[in-house]
Amino acid sequence: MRLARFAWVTALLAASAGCDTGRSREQPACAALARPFDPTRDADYAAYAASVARTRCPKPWTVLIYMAADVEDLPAQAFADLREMEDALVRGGVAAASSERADVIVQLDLPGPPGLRRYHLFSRTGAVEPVAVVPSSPEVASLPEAEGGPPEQALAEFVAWGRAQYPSDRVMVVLWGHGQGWRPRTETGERVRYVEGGFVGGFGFDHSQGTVMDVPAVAAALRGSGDTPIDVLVTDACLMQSVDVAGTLATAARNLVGHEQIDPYAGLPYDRVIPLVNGQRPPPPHPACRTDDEACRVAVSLPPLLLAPGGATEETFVASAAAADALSGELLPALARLSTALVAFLDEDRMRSIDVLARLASRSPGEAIPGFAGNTVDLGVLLVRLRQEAQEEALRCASPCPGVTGLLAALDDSERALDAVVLTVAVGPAYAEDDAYAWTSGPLGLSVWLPPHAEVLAARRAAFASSPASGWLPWLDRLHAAP
Amino acid sequence: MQEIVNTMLEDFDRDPVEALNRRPTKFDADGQPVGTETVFSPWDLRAGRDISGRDQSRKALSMLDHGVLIRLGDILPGRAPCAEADRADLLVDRLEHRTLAAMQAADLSAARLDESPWSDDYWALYLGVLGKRYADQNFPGADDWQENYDYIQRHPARDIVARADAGAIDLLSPAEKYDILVGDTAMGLTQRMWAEGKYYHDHNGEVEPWMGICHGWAPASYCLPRPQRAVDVLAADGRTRLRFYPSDIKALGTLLWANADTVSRFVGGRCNDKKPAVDASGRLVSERCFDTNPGTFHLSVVNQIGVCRRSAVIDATFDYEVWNQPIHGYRYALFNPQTRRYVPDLAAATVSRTAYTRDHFAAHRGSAAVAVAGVMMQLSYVVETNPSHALTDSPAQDKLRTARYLYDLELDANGQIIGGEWYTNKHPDFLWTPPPNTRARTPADALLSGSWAAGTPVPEGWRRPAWRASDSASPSPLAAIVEALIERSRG
Repeated sequence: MRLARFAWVTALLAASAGCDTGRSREQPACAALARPFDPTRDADYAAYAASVARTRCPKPWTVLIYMAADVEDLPAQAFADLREMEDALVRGGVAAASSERADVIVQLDLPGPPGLRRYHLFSRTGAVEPVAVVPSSPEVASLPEAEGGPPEQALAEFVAWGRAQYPSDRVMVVLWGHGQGWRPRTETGERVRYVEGGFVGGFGFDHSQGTVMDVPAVAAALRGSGDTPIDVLVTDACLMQSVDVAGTLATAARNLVGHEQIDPYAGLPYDRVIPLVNGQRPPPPHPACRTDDEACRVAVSLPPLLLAPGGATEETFVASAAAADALSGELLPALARLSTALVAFLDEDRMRSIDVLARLASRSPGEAIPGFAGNTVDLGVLLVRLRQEAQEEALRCASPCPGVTGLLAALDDSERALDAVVLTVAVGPAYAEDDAYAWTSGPLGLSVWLPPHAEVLAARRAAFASSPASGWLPWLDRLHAAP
Repeated sequence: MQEIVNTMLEDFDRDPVEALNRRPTKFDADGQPVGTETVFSPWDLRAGRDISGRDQSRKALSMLDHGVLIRLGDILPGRAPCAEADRADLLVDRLEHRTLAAMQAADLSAARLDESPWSDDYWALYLGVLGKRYADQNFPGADDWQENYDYIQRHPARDIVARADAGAIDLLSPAEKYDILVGDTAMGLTQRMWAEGKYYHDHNGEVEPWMGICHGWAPASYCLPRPQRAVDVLAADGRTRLRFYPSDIKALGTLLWANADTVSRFVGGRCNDKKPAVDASGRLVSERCFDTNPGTFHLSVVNQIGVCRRSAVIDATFDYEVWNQPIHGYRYALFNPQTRRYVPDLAAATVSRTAYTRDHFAAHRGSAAVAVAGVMMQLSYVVETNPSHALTDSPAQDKLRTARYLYDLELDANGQIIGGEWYTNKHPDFLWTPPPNTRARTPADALLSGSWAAGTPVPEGWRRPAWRASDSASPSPLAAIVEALIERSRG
């Protein structure tokens, strides 16, 4: 069986050999693009692939979904999301799989059977009935998992292969699986092993392999996948929309969509995600996006899907879309300047550290800085609370206080930069109605590491020192320094 | 014990579903049943605030794991790997005994701490937290926060001190006395105490009566020594004499622990289902509402109280009478789950899975369980009392309550306790404690130098840090002052 599947891949590669990828899809050979896989007509997937000459005929979009579901609690969720796409049509919705405008390709890793499987997702047609096999779409390939290699190799190969085999004007990559936020590059270059239960950071926890990917490795795998950045990078995983993680992934993508808090098990509603790119429900104009930037319009349309009826199953989500260039070019430098200003603010009066540390521990409405797992907090909320501190100090301070005025200016600067980065945000009712967020606008969509204790800072400081947001660290050192 | 156990089992036999849903009767120190005692009003209970309120409090607890502070509120269902939080070793100081046989051999079927954790108020927000002038007969003590606040506004402490009215000064609240002690003319701690309720009053039109700082009292009651006598001190002005009664000192200790950024150890999770589903047997279906597992509970109580001789705090989501109560002691007896009768020894209490033919919870047994043993535990814990101007405090003034919990324990082939089933749904489902030797401190304590000599005002260098700690987002007295007051009260 496995030999046969490899044969499909071989056929697909043969079909692409020597083709002219520069040819327009208007050529007669591309007319078959609209045709879905048909098991009654196509002998197998290879035959279908050969007939549509996909590598010579770019589509507007390719969606590559990397499903890292080799963890006990995720297969059911993976199948549910696959069904959302395949069954959208038969459930009375619009088609949410491949179309003339887009191909949806999934690489699925499960606890069993061993190996990786790639599927080309098509809408299921016919009566609504339980499907015996999930997914029902054709399997493109079945591959062994590389033993001993770096875990990001599978991601790199999948995305590079997908972009080559399904060329398109724009690419969306979905990183689907368990996430735990920032994890730095492993110095030894060895496979990253993790201890179950501990908070270690990273993406794509794989129980069979005992591995997790560090964030720079994920970014490198994506950067190496093609000549242009990914147009929309979605992390359908927990805790990945932090300045450290997103700041790293910004080197590989133009638009970043993800969760700064726990991503509910149900994840994104794929029956509404895919129609944005497959021609069923094109994304509407958005003030944050240029009219001709369809990728931006798709990205900003994704977080609000969680707020729509049937969008999210839990009340605890904070998802956002962020502009990668503004993140790298504006926000990260602004945070470094803010850190410098905070050091000056704290140095001007030692008593100020009491207030800031008390705020970190506070439970009081309008005072607290509520956080997310991994000791991150929403950057927008933090900026509001720091402004409260600066304003209270401005009232206390009788003489000229350059530390206070400098901090207020740096806060202005950071707020402007954050505003330029976050394109949209969707906040679950659990946070929208939480008194702890009183006197703020609620979470704004990007998080930052804020260790509440010196012990926590000491334990993970080295890990964050290699983050692109490391300019944030000096004020944390100052805050937690022994007097 | 024999009669008690048999009566409880007969009740369970008669109607298991009714028994599962019954709230355990509480008994006083003399073994007499007591009436309902709860901070929740009937309206609160109807609205399910006993569930949502305690969930709100519980989710702020945090533990340190490999350098990451994990708040219970962070643990949400979703795409992040989370640790299993229902293991006794996550709570107890030392998990020495894992089998009933070892517990019996070590004579641990009953244990009681040498001294009970001290009782104190939960310092309700609607009464101004530590701003409550509890000894002032004219203080309204009204249900309405505004009425209580207005009284304080009409009779400000600054005026009372300015009049040098010793009698009236003595009746001031713990927060007011503290502000005067540290020379805080802005009355920072007092202002903050009233501000706690003001937010809810302004936003919701009321301050719910259950809101308080019992989450600070419970750990303070055994992590801080008992204040034994009233302490007379000189205020920062060098003139005003202040008397801190044991209740005042406990109040300051309670607030310190409520707002200090300490970590905890805990077992159990969060359950905010107001009407959690039960199956046909009457057992809770949701695992997060079922926990803590009786196996974890039994291992935790016996090892922590019996072996480590240190208290822990219990919480029972579906029993509105049990919320953050420090444990004082326990006594357990055994029963045979097959015959459902009291038995005097472990061998008679242990039934193999194959012989256990009338298992009410057969569908829920763990696959590794080879035998089941029945247990009835009498757990005694400390509850809140009203503050007073008593000059001394001792365990005799503590208020103890006892509850009886029926459960069975699942044992593996080595006799190790690996699980079990509760015979009441209104059981302790969450236990927590600060790690041993934890000291609650404010950030300001790190900036203090020098010492506070008896008979002198608080050192000049302590005052500004004290004011900042009082008027902060986590308002608190300095740990150094609380500890000094306790030390003097015991000297």
